[in-house]
Amino acid sequence: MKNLPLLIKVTAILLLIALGNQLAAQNDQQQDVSRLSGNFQSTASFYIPDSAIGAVGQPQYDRQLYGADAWLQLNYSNWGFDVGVRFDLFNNSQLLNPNGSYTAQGIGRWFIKKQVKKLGLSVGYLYDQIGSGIIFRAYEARGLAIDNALYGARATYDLTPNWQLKAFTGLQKRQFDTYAAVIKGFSAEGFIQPKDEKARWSLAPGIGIVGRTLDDQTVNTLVNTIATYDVVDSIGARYNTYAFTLYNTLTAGDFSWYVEGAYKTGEAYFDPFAIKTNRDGSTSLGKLGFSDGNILYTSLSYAGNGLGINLDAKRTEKFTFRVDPFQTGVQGFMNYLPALTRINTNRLNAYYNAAIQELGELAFQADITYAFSRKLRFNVNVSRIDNLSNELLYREYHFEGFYKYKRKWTLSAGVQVQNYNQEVYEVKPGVPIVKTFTPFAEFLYKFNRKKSIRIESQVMLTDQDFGNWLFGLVEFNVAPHWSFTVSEMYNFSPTKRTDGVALSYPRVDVFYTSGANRYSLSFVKQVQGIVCAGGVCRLEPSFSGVRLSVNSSF
Amino acid sequence: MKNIFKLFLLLCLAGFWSCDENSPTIPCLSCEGDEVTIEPTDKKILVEEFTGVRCVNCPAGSAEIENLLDIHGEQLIAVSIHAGFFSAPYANSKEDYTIPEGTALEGFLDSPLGYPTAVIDRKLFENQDDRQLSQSAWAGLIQEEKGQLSPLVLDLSLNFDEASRELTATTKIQPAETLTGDYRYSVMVIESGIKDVQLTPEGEIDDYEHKHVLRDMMTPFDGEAIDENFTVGVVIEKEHQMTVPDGWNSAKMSVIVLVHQTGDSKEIVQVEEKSLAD
Repeated sequence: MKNLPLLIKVTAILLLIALGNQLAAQNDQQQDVSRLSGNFQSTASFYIPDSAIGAVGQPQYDRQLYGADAWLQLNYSNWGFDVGVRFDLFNNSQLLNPNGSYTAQGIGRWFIKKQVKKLGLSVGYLYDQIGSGIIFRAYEARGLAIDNALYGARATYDLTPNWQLKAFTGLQKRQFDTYAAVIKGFSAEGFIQPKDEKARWSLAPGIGIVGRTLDDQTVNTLVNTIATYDVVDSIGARYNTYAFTLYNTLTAGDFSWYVEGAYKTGEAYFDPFAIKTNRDGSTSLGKLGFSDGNILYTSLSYAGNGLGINLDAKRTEKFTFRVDPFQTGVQGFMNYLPALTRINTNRLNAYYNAAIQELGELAFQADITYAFSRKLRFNVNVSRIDNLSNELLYREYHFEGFYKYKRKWTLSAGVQVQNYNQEVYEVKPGVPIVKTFTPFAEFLYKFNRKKSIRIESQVMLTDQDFGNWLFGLVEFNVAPHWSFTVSEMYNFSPTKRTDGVALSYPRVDVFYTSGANRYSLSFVKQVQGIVCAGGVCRLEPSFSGVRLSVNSSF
Repeated sequence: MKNIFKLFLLLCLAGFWSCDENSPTIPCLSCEGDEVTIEPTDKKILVEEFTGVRCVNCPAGSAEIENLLDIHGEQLIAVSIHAGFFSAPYANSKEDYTIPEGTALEGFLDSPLGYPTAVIDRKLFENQDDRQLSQSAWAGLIQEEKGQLSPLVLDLSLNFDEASRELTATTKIQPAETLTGDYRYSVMVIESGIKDVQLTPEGEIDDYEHKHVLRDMMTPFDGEAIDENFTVGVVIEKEHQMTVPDGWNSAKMSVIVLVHQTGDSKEIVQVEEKSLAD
């Protein structure tokens, strides 16, 4: 991105689009159809300071008072080409750094793809992954300002209709720039099915390699850092790190079994909990270590006769794989480690999240759903995560029942029990394990074909952290356009963390939908908490203010 | 199928072959008995650490700063700025170490993504997102800053009257070469040896020793403009005064002066420190 002026890039893409149109028009024999599609997403926030909930002391509250994020993606296909361009905008944005203010705008992504018989070619900012993403995943999670697109080139080759080779090389995107490390990778994936059509099994094996070469500047910084270490802490450093993976999905009848094993060669990584010996003989926390890493992940599922079962297990050991060892937070990830916890959507059920522990964890999850009839079904989810020293990190037991009465009303209710190692997940030494007991219920009643009301409530009972919480929400829908919600999150019987002050977080939303366009206006008091996207988490500060958002696709 | 796996095996071998690299040699600056040689340079390095009494990981950062001061000696100067949402004092804290200038500096020098965090010479280093650097990067980047020559010599002298507690800081800025552009001048007052509450991995410690705490600034947080031109042979003299509050231990106090650029580049051109006890 930094090597090519913005104007040239945009002009080149527009010219290509125009060329595609012209060629399609001139060549009557071409059957290709010109197709333009896209989407727009934006949020504008107006900040209202509220010292009671900690929504102060940031540039947005102190002086800026306003922030916005927006993305416009355009995709165009014609004559065998797929091209796309995305405009990104961040004005006084908290997305990149929840404690800071980020302002930048411009072309955040462009790509060109072309299929030439068996050969597929792509250049630009590419999203992709190998297997489940354990050794490589280039993806976007806007809510966490993660955009790990690979800025480079990719080629695929279809050996047979069922076997494909893929190779890529490039640099990882960093906002409107790139990181310096060079990333390259290769994978081979296939699909095997018996010729006997009655046979009910198949295999989808794959294998992949990813290599990362650090730039001289990063290695110099690494060497200079290690040079300050005492001899007992001194480690090596390498320019190149490789990760290998082998994976397969076996499908047999109603069963599906995915297994993946990966290994990463040794590299330097920063361990904030490692004990470092200083020059004067004292010790402190945090130093670079050097180790290889491995991970084993498996998922077994069954679906049939009203019964759905998912069993997952994962063992991770020193599998941190970032674009360079100095990246922290959610930035610079080259891979994605799957989370083995339930994705909760209820406000209080989702308050405590187990972030992936890339340096070591042993995780299990079982999810069972059984439908007695079309009216009645139950779901049980159990997840358990320990570190490799068998220290408890996370437990969740989630039981939920659903009952549907004709088309008139639906009731779901259940209970969630959590044990959450706040000391590890939020790096708060000395704090106890947070133990929660959270009953919840949701009721949907349809007055007629247009009007309905939804009532949602949860009560989190805990003696730790903030203490007990109560959450209630009422949503009134007038199809197909309007939706109104009012909610309140209230910290009754608070602990000393808030000095015994009960905190209140009200929220009012109005949504209007017109075709593919959706608008919302919200008054928000949002509690500080951990925000996650599939196990990748970060601490999000409190928010107080008004939010206006527009989403559209075309 | 066989061909696919042969091809893959070949690529694997090629990949492993590539692993046979010439890895960098690691010197040891910290080895016991080794003399740490200070590079012949006029340029000193300032590390501005942002911290807070509620920041559990900050003592590890402070320990690393002390270790680096031990390694680099007088060539490295440190200041600990209490700012941000971790810096609110506890009910049993003796003092609030946040000051308006410190809070303003946190915004001025890019807001940190996490803690511990520090800014080195107010420089935006290559491959870094912003000036705020996580602990893992400090040692290496400080080492890289060493060996640079500064076009300015700062001659700092202090006059502290114990009775009136009047402190006068006089700095003579002597350009070694003629410079153009806009420069500013900041004066910080710091204190070490403060025993007060701090959250640590072992819990809240009442008598934690806070070092290099930014107590006050004798200039605005972003410095005072230097109107004079930097011309070889022309000495620019700056003088600032303040009354040191009674509770502050003058024996543990220092004054830091720094000349830095303005605009997009806030980089420090030269920095100097002098103790009130000297």
